[in-house]
Amino acid sequence: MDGLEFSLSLNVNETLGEVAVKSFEAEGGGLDQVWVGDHPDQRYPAIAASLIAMKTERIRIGLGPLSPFLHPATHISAMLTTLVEAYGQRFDLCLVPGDRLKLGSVGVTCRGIPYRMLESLKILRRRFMGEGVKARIWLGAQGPETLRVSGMFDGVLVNLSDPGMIKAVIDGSPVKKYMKDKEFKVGVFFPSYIYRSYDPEVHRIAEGAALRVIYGASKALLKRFNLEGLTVGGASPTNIPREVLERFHLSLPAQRLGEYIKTMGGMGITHFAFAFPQNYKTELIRDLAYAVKSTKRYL
Amino acid sequence: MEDEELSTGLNLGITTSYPIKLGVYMASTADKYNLGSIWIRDGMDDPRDIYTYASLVLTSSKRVAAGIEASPFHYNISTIARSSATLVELHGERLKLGLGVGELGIAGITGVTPTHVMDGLRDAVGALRVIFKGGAVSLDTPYFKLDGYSLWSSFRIPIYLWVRNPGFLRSAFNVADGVILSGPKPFLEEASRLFRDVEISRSLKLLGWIPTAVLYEKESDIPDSAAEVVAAAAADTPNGVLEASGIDLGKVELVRRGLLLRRWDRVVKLVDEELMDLFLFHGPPADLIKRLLGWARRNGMDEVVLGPPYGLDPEKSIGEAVSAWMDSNSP
Repeated sequence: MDGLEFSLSLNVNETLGEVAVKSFEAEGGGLDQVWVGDHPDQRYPAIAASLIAMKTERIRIGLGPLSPFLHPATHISAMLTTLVEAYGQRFDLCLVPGDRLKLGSVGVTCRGIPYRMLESLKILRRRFMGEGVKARIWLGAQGPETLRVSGMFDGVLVNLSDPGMIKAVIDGSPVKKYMKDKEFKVGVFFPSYIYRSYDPEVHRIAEGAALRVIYGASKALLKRFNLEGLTVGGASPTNIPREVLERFHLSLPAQRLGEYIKTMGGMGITHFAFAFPQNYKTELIRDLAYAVKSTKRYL
Repeated sequence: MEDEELSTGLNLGITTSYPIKLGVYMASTADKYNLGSIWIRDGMDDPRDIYTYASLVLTSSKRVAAGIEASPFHYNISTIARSSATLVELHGERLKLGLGVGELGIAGITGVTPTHVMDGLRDAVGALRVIFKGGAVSLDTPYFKLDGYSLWSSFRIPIYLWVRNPGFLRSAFNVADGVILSGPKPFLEEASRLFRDVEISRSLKLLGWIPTAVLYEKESDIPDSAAEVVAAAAADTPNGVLEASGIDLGKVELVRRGLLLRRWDRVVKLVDEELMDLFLFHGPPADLIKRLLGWARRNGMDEVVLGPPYGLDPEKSIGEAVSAWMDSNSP
């Protein structure tokens, strides 16, 4: 299985010092990429990305997911251009519509999502070409409306972990058609807990992160999998059936990651972004790096 | 006021249209000569991100402060707040946040035409002060909407206002930690007079942003880059200020149209000697600095920001101008 990429998603609610240390750990462990997320009340991602680039040597750095509703495309382009000018062509980008509630709290509304995503992509491509920026532009998506426009991007990152759900989402959307183009990549990002030594506390954190994915899921997606109503009435990890929660995060012992990747690879998935709580402790980043190395041998 | 009485502070200015390398050079020059700050202006249609640019400049020096100009009419106020906080977290308390309307391009780029600029800037300053103190802000104005917005900690960040309009001066003196003036020299002179006459906090800083073009013996013509800077400055200047400075409005209107069409070739030809003299200091380094320093002292300006274009070789021009400044500016 060639061309697989393994990345770690970092949270900028941590101090920049922690973000730098964890990126260094990810690079040392042989991971291919780190993603620097973006929320309106957390650290500015391009400065975090700049620090990571300074403290590491080769690891690719993904900016995002970023919302073009919060940052105009010209501004996003400026972030990438500045990073590339300072550190070379080590950067990628992932656009998402964004968390409606979070964006709403800073006066940003998300209307006309497909149009805005495509319009932003057009501006970014034009600017990148003019400035000599070679960055892949991913679309972070989950719902059918956004997935429909993913074919114009370099790839799509689907915010799901369950192979059955991912297969259904791909088969039921134009993504299946887009995948016939070898240049178009499909990846997944999800809350993950890949471990060598099990800690129930971290597992509970992963379930909490899964719950947030459910809360942020598109209505169409929840309806499709008969999961509507899950978020009604103040749901918590304790009152959502565990088998449902398990479908929204990936918690596995390190030696079982290979099986999962093999299944997903068989579906044409090539990029795997392991998100919070995998970055919760440096020890967990080491566990992930170990699991990825074992997986590569297994495959 | 006698020239000998004052030592005027020197800062260096740059815009995001210049390569990062030049910003880094400025930081090392500022360190070498113990200068105040590097002020970075945001050309909103420029290819570089001002916050990341500022971080790279600050990384290049352990001492110098960076000032940034950001428009709350262009960036979401949360972006201004957290990028500023991120800079302080990473580099310590070396950031000065300058808020301004932004360039003429704002209308073309964002579709927003700020009609109640000072109200908007005052709201932005008020909100940012609370946020930087660690508080939560809810705000619902024509330009800004925040619902319980807060950051992860508190931060000490002085807030400056970028003023081009005399009508804003008194308000700016009252709400900001510092005021940066840009525009034709008569406006800067008038603003300095007002600054000295009104009762304001003694800790308030007043800075003048002065475009400079160093010319050497063999260079008889002012470079096109200087004409471009002057054109942009004139276009951004309110009509009332232009009129008060005796500038032909029709000429500036043509400049504005040219800029909106991005026809720099046309714009450069519209910039005549009158506009050059009103917006720019130019000449050989020692002569330029002597005139600039004399002018700043006569007008009681505490600090000036040498602004671009500097010259055909900006690094060389900056180095020589700063050196000449050091020679001339002993109290």
